[in-house]
Amino acid sequence: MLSESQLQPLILARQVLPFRFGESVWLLDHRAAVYWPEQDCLLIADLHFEKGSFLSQYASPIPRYDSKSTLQTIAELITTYSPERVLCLGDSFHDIGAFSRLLPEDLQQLNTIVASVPCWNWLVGNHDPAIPASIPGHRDETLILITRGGKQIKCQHIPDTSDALQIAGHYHPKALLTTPVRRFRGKALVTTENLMLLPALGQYTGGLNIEDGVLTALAPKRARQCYLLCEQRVLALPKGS
Amino acid sequence: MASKPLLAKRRINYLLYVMVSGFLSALLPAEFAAWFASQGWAVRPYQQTMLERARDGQATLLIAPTGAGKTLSGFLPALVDMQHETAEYLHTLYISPLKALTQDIHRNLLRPIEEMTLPITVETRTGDTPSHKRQRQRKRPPHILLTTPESLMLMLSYADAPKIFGRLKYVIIDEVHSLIGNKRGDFTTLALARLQTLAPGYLRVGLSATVAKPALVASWLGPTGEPVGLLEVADTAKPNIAILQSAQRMPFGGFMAKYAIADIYQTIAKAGTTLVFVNTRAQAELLFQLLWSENSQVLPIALYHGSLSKEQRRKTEEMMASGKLRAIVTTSALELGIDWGDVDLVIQVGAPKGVSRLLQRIGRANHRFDEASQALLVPANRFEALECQAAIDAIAQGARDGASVQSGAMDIIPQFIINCACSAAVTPQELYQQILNAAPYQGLSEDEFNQLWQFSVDGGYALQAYERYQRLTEQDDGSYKPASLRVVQRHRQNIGTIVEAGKLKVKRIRRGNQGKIIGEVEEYFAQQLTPGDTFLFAGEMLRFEGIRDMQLHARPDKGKEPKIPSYVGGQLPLSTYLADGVRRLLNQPGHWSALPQQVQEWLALQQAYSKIPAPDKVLIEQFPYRRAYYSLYYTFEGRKANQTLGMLITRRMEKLGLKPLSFSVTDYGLSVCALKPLDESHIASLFQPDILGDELEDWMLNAPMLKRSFRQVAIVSGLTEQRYHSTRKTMKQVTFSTDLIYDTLRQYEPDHILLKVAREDAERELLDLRRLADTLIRFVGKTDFIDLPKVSPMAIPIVLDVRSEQVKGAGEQALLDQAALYAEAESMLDEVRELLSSAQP
Repeated sequence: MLSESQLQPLILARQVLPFRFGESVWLLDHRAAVYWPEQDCLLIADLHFEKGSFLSQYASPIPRYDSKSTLQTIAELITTYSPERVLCLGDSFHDIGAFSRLLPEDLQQLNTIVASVPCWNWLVGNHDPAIPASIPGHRDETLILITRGGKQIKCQHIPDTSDALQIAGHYHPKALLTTPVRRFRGKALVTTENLMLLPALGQYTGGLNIEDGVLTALAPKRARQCYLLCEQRVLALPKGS
Repeated sequence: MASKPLLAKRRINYLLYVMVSGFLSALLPAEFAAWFASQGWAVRPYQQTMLERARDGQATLLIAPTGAGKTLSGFLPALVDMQHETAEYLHTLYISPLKALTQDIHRNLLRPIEEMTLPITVETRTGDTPSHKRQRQRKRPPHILLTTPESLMLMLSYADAPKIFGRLKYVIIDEVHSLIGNKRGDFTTLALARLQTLAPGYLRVGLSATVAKPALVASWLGPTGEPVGLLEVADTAKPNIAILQSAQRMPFGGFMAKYAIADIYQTIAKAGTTLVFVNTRAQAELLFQLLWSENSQVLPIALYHGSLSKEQRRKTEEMMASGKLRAIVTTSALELGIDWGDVDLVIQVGAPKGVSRLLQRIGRANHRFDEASQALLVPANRFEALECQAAIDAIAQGARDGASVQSGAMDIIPQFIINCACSAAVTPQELYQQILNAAPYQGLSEDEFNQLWQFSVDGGYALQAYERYQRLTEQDDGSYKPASLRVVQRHRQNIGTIVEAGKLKVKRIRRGNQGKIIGEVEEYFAQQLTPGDTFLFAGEMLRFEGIRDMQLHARPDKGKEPKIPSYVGGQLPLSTYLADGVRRLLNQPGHWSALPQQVQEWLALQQAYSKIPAPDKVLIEQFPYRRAYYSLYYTFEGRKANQTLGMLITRRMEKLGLKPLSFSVTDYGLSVCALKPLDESHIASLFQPDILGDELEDWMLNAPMLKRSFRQVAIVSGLTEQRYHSTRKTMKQVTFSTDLIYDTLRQYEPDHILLKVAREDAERELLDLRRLADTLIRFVGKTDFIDLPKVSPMAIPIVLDVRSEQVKGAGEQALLDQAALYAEAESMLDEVRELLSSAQP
């Protein structure tokens, strides 16, 4: 758990922004992660390891450093928050073959990171129906978190249509903020009264604009609050946008 | 071709040269001579020279003014050569920078061929050509193929390219002047170099409008940088150009020239046929609407620009060719050599931006070369009036903008390498030699080539764990070929050098979901629309409904105030020659009388309230405006240099705690907006050459511009695909911001060749560093700083230019804090503090 004195400068620099969901307070980090102080839990989603090498199978010569970069971000987050638990909300690996393409040194770093956290939960996603057995941590389809007030929060890769409190990944929300002075563009966190959609953390992850019909159907504009991650800062978007 | 001479003196000259050319035209077969005579034409002396040069196997650059019969002259040797042709093979290739031009040339070529019953086949081959026709053209090419650089490159990627091009004799490159010093031109020289290996004996014929430095263009065209033979035809008639004298008030800023609509309409009504040129597509749409609202006589006035659908453009072209239109409002889409028949008048609305460009546009009027063209310039604001007058002065003095030749863009090389490998296995050695034959690439070092080669083969990354991801694989004989069919397909879908913003098709909905595609808009424009918004497109008001299946759905609407399409790509750069002309004009008050009265008054006001920029000093004005302070630097050094200056000055202002918010540039000056005011002492440290050392490096590495230029490089070099080019469903998943790749490369492989290429591109295309350095050194300590209580008359057009670049830093943060919701966050923070402290042991 990070200390209050560590948090203060992050908030002043707008690198972290507190927000409310399900009567609890959460911290949104500009590196596309959410920290839940109540339970000392770090939530991340859509890591998409080895997307770079996946694309190079399709004749795309893009540099294959994305897993390294993603791993480094996770390592930095863990250094900042030293959480009791890490919850990965699915699509951690880009495809079924991703694990076999991970470079040995990257795999080693992944194992080191997972081992450094007391409790690591992998939720499976549509890209990674099974997490390779050699990687430590628990595997689940869904996980229920319980707040101090006794409320249950259902965590899974793709949210279901129930009215339950839910946290999910999958959609890679991104947003555009236009101010009179300039435009800001980046990954986004979407929240409604009962749904929280995490931004994708993976280095090579594109996104779905929060204006897209799929996202406005899940989180209607009037009922939602979105946050934009841009240039190492968290910006709250105007309510209803 | 030759016109009917109107004056007696001209008639005698004309008769004389008909007689003389009759003796000369021994190279012209009787059938051709007879056909010329039947048209009432004579062979011009330079056309005769073209025949002689072709006979002697000498490559030629023909420089002639618009309307001199340039294009037919280019084809004449080929037509004569094929007079009795019986074999079927590709004899002559015609390369045009514009698709539309190939259609036009096709029409114009068919007439002499049919009338002389020559056994010659002519076809076009562009992106619009249906695939069955492309297939057939590969098996049985026509004698003359009219194409674009991109389509040519695509044909060169086929395995049967040696067969298609093997017997090629002539390559005609039209509008050469538009290909100098840009990526598209570099790309064309590579295609020409490749052709040289397939058909070593072919002859290059370049056609160009008048340019400032013909010798440069001749070297550019030469097969190995050796200049080709020059043939220049003198400009005989200077155009008559006037600036519109309107009784209406000419605005200080803006680009739309709304004030002059009634005047423009009256002028159109009086003339026979008019071409109205504007600089952007948005201006074209608006002007078209305004003209129709003024159109009490219901004159047939049409709209033509590059975003409209092909069918719509064809229709307008046909109506124009058959003389059914009185006016067309258009952009640079109609600037190059399409022959529109009888145009009586050209109206340029907005600043001309360049002497040569203006001449090219004016040349559309009266497409006959020994008659003076008529043109009217309509400045949209007062600064533009200065530019119009400077352009008129330059044309009167016979001056031209000098296009400078630059070293070839390196991001095209990987594209070229893959292209060659798609046709047949290649070795790096042979390709390097071929590339060196293209004039812009003669300075390409072997080391640079090797890095680009390695990038093409396997990405060129230090970390290469798995060989199977190669794009090119080595054969047993040491040559390389594409690793898979996928590599070939991917490459062919992405050939080209013009990186376009993502585009959406516009569907005009009639009922339900039924409707017609009427054109395309840039993706970012579509994103800023919300359902119900209205905008002008294809000459009517549309109401936005939504985006479905990569199409923008919109319905016709009767609203009054549209959200005007704000297209990109409309900003034409001002030539340095013209910027200097404006500066000269300002410093010669004796010449102001040529300007419209209102402009004279504006300058007099500036003189009284502030100062006119002196020739040996840089004027810097400051004034408060909209809760911030604006400082104006009148450099007259062009948009690029001003842009760079803006970047560097705002960085230093940030360091000095002046909280800069944004800056905007025009060709004349730089305007910086900040929360804190400047004083004399700040100026000394802001307008300083050392800004290039301290701030430049720092900025280059972090600037969004470098990412912007990387985006282009990534697409052109084949690192990523053009967005949405393919209909494959996986595309959406495959595309993500190249910014992410840029960051990754910067972090893990800072020496990668593509980063280097992106940086060179940025310095070249975006920065104009050398010019800026010259300016800073020349004017150090020579500044006129004036602190004003209000905006000065001359600053208004610059401040009103809303296309500003934003500054990242404290100033911006201060503004955001006002806008965003942080109060609530503050209260939640207390809760977090409590949680954290209660958990501490």
